[in-house]
Amino acid sequence: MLVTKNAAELCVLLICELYGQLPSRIFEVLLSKGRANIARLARDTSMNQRLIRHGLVVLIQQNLIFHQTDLDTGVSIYEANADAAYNIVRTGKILDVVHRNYGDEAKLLVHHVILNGYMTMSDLMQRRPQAATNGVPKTNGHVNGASSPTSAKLEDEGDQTQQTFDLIAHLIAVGILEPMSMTMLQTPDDVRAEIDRDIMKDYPTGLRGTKQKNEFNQRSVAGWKSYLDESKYLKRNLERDYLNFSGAKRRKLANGSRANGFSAINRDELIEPHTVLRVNYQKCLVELRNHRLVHYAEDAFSPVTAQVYGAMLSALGKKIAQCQLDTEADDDALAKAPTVTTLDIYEHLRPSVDVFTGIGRTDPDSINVNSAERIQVDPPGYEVGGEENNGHMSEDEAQTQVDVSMSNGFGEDRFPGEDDSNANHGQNGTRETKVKFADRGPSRAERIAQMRQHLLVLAESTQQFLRHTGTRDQGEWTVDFELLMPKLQLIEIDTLIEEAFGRPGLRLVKILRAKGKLDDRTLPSLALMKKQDVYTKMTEMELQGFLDVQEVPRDTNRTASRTLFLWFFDQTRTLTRVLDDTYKAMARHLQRLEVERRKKKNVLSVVERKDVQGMEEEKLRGDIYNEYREFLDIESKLLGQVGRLDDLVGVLRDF
Amino acid sequence: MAARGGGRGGGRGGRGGARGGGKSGLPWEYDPNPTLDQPQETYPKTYRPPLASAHPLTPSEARAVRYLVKFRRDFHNSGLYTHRHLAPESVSASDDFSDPVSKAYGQQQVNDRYGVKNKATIDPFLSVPMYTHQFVAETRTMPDLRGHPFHHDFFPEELWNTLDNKDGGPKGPIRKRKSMAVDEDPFALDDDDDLDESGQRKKPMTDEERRRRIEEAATGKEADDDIADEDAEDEDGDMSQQDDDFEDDEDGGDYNAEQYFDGGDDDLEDEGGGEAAMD
Repeated sequence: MLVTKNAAELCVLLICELYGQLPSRIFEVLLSKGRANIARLARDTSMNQRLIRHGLVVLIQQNLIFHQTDLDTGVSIYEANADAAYNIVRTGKILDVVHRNYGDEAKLLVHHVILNGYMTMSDLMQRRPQAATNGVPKTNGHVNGASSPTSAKLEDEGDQTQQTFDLIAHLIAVGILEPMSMTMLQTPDDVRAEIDRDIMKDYPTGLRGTKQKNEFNQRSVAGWKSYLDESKYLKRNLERDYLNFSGAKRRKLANGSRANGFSAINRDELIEPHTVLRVNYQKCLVELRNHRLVHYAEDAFSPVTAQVYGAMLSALGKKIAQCQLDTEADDDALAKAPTVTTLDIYEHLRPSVDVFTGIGRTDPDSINVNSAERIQVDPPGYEVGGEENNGHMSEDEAQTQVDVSMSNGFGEDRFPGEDDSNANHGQNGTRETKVKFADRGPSRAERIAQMRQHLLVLAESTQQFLRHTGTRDQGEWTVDFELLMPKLQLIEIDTLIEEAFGRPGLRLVKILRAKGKLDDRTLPSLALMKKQDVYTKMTEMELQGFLDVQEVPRDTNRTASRTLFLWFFDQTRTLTRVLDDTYKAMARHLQRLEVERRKKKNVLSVVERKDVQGMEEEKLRGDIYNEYREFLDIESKLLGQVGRLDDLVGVLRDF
Repeated sequence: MAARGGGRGGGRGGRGGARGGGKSGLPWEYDPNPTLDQPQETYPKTYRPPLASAHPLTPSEARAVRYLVKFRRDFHNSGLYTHRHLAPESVSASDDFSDPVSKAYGQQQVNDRYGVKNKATIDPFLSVPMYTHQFVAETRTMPDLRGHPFHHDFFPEELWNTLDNKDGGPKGPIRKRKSMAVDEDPFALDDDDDLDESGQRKKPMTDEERRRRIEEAATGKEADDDIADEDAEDEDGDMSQQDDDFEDDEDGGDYNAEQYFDGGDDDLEDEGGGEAAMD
């Protein structure tokens, strides 16, 4: 994360909003002045060292700063972790996504882990039995209802402990929770430098020649890889049993024969009780990205297609640990991107989704089946070298264009009954299709076949939501995130430009993007617009920082008439600019929230009274209560807008 | 091209700056009669934000906001939260909402914004324990680290004393904290439902709880050994702790006359003495 002034302001406001003023003051100084020790922090904040120490404890507990102790002097230095501070704003969304994908109990567990920064396994386990023993009857009913509606009798404590354990193990296997290690306390750069220093000890005379340099680099990368793998051993151990762990299985497991097989000792062997767990934000980002992509698919196609896409992503998401690959450590990751099969996806599709809607119908003759079922084993432009890359891409796009025109302009559609002609193409599903004809209701095979149509539509889109990579198990699919995300980023930037400068502005930007740098004389003729309009629009966009102009003197005189003015659109620069503006907007929303609080100071001070908090409706007078509701409304609007801006940041930066 | 000519000729930069032609309609057009009495435009004309009412929050967004607010409330009720405490002069200007954040130049001015809580800044009229104080949540300027499970491994050694509350943290039994009531029974709480929560708070003390408390009082066991008991602590305990509050503050204050000379250890420890050596 590039910490600009606005980003720093946002991080500080977020910490102040959630964790309090003292940590935010320390964090502000750490961001603006860089890493520092306690004495320097005390001088910069003009607070006494005792306060600083207490503030640092809170910051470390919440994983917001890195620290490192010099072994010789015993003095520690602290450094701000801006990414972690930014992630605070996603707390609500992460809890929501965990709630949606893993259930209410999982959400509560994650809530507690974030609340405490990190927790030991044993602490986390203790949450549940307490609820069972001294919970109010109402509570008990609720918990039972949520976890296992079948059990009418009161479950004994052992079962509940087992359930909690299974849930935690599942969350670790999936990657939402991760065990914490000492190296996580240091900045990744420091860890890397330390690895390099250790290796350098074997070369006392320094590196000589390319051979030694290569050797050194290899060892350095290997050391870095093993550092990255260090925290994953527990995840790998648990993956076998707990990765595909659903609520149905849990019920069976808890009530069935294996329930007694897992004793407390067994559990301790699997996960040691003093293992410290924290939330793995990288994995949470993967989940958030899936959620976001479903929205894009819904915009581009239909809600049903989006839900099929969501099922596909959640199947795929289990194999993805982080959004942005560490290219150095996973150099072979691009080659073998994880794939999922059609049957896998079907497992993840909610039974309530009616896959027979959402795709229009068209004459089967107008579909080029070969093209629709085309298999792309490699990501576009993967094996092809740099120059041919573009040619390959455009060929693909041309083909897609042909497909679209052939299938009546809207994706590729088919009657459900005609799937057999399609299923015969290199699939082993012929027997199943016969079964389908025997009973007329939408059988499983029929549903799968229809779901495949949705997947093919997604694969055909210009955004390339999917890639069809193979035919095993009725088709293998993957997503090229590295290619898909830039396209979505471009969509977001285009939307912004259209909002701010209207369609003519967007048109000009698109021309510039297609043609590269353009002289201001040729631009009006290309855009078919009046010179006057073009100049006004271009300068307007240039002032806002979306466009740039380069001047090239044609001779040594450097007069304006003898100079070429070349307009161009720099996407990466625009991206960082838009990001910075977004940070600023988010910070302003939080400041606005503070102003609203001051406006309603009198109401809020009453609401915060200990005897009122939690039962505002009964205790407050009608008009005050209404005013309080008004404030809550404003607050949710502001925070909701911050969340939306964060979606944008996610697409532009993190996903 | 004539229209553009002004802009071109305006300077070597080609972008013309403020000297651009008069009739070109360009955004930086020179206006000979500047009206300085008008307020400056804060937002660019091109920005037309869509109305919030036109795009209400989706259910998932509303849930995310609710979870965030719930999380915030839980953390604010825990001991690690420090309340907002601004200097009175920066607060008194707050009646004017139009400019909530005045600009601060340099770290010194930024620091001056924040309030200092010590004996000198106590309001003598409000600091006397009063009946209504029992309902007002305390405002902390220093986090209360007691009762929080820390893992010393994850902290640098110089902070260990602070973790163990040997660093002049608040003394006395841990006061009642609502978050602990929440912590104690997390699965009982359905945050979607406010009634549930209030029901939780109104929960009357059961007989066995009362009996246990009496037993504890008899054996002299400290209340803070058992976190679950804090919820049961009654309001009287809170009243007596109002006094403690100000004792804490004198520890946490910036300027402490009574320890002016012997309290200099803070300044020494960065010279390498190390806190552990002195304790």
